[in-house]
Amino acid sequence: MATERNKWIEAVGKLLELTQDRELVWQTRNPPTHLNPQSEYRRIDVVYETQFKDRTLRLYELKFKVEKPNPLFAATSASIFDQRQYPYWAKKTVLELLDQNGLSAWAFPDIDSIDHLLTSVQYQVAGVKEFLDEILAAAS
Amino acid sequence: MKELTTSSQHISEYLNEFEEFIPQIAEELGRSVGKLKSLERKLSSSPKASVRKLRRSISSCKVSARNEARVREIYIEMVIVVEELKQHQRDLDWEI
Repeated sequence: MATERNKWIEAVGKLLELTQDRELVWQTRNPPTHLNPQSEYRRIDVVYETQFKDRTLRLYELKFKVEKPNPLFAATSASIFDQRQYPYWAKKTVLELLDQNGLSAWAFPDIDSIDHLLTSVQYQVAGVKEFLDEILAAAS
Repeated sequence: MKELTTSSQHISEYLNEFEEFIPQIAEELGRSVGKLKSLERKLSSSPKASVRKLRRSISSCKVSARNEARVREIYIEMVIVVEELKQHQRDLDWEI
């Protein structure tokens, strides 16, 4: 029986398929101000949006700075083996369902296939397939 | 698990142009079978059954232009197994 998490994975897999089949067309947008406040701790360069059955989906990569955790509150096992240099920048791909005002109504759970979807959206938006076809046509 | 994560990522990229990448998909799936066999030997609880099921799905799939839908099902199954393995790892970390 599919768990709740598996349903999200299947749903994102379907969005991936629709994107790769060009049935779902994504547009590049500037990040809204509320998502990207002037901050030295988080940054979003670009967001991608698409319409799916009258609902808007927004996809973006959030980069955020991770500061060294307070040793008093850090989990013992994690802190002993933690060899990272702080602060460092981490990233997370976010897929959201928007409400009618363009605000996030729901964020999808953090699963690998959202990263895969972002790669396919970038492939589509950048026109990689068309570019390759043009190069090959020019070369022949 | 990291190798399986990388495989699922590669397959999702190849699916951008399925027909162009059929040999690469077949090769990536073939490599995954080896990784899954190795994982099966190391696991002892519930993820083992999922790993075995995925390995059998891959082994019975012949990648061709006519079965893109089946490859997509396997890709989804692979992502589900990766998530299950991550959860299993988190559970083990808590037991330490």
